[in-house]
Amino acid sequence: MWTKAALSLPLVVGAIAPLEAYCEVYMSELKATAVLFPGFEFEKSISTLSAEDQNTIKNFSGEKVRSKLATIWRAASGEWVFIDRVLGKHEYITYAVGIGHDGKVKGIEILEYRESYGHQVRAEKWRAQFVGKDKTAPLTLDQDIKNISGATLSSAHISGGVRRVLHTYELLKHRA
Amino acid sequence: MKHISTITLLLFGLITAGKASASEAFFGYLYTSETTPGGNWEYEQTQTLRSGKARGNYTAVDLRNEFEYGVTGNFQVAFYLNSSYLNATHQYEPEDVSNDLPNRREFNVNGASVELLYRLMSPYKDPLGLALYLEPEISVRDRMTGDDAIERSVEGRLILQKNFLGDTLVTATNLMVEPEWEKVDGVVKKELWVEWTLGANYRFRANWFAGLEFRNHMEFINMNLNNQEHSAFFAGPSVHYANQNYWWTLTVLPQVSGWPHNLGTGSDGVTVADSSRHLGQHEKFEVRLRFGIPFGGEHSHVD
Repeated sequence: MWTKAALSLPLVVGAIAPLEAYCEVYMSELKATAVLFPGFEFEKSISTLSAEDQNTIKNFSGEKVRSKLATIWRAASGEWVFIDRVLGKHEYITYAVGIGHDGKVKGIEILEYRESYGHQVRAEKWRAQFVGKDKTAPLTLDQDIKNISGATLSSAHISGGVRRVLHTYELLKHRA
Repeated sequence: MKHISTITLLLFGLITAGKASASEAFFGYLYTSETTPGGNWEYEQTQTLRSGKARGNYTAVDLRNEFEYGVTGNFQVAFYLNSSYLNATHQYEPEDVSNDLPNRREFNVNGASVELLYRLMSPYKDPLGLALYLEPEISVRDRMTGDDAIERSVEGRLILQKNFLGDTLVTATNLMVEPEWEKVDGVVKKELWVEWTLGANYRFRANWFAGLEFRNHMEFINMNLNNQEHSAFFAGPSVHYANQNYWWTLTVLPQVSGWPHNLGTGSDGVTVADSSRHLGQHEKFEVRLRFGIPFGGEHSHVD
């Protein structure tokens, strides 16, 4: 009896598992552009990164490029907003990185976060650490970015993601 | 069966109320350096099905109910209630197969234990994850035979974890040492269990991991490393699923080889043996399911 019950549990859990996951979307891409650069008008574009581009970005940032398509909202005055995603503990974290015409981070916004802990990545205090960073910044936990206890993976991956985005920006800005 | 249905319903009712944990078990038999965030707690259950001896019928399900609490970001404590269901007929005493064991079909609470886990390094920001684990345990019954016995033990583990490929490939190894003092009929018997486990798990899609685990379990009589009683090797696949609300891990671990093969002559004059496995203190295969339901909400903080 107990044996049957024990064997049936994984089947039951497995069957309901995909139904239990749910999505927490905090902000749309368009809303993120308005929050990061109030009053600016942006136009969405998709840039394709060649294999050589991906290698260049990886070599400079130390982060693997997981998608050859870069989603970028551009303003006529030179401000860019990248829509990027990184691996969270269980699912992807989608976020926006606003970059000024000087190549420095204006701010980041979390669009989707579906992890158990570490919702403090959405806190203004934590996100403020990225403001003013450019491609020369380490963007590494315990160096220039503070860790969030209980969400170390998310903190590390977002930091690495912003570093990768900054090097993607450097590569693409002259092609605009 | 009615009771089991009630318990199952209760557990899955709790699932919908919980928040997922940072201390989820990526493996069935290995521990990683993950800890529950400070101020949060979790209910975890481990069910291990063990089946197949050299003769007769033997099926056991070890059930461990655990309540876990994150004291700080790097330190967690847990309380375990250990029980088992045993269905055995025509079985032999593992250490002296000429003695037959009574047929059993029973469920018993065997004992309790406390876990202390301290993380020294995190795999997400240090070169590797490193944690130390200590679990003192006391039990009143031998889970293998179902016989009454006062057992005291202290399980210590050195836990190493290394992630690769942007944390999509999780590897871990544990070295476990567990001295045990067993008192049966006024006689105290000392044993030392040593276990080495190794595993790798790959995230093949969001929420899902699949991988392999390896386990070598050894026992030494009188805690003397020159007096090895047996050794058994297990290897098999594991699957892990996790989301915000709960996680589970399923591992199938058949015994691939063991020593000694020949356990001696049974009371019926027939040799008790297997061609390649040790079926005295172990079985032909094990299946382990672990699942966790975290509670406690958000207490994470910026270091």
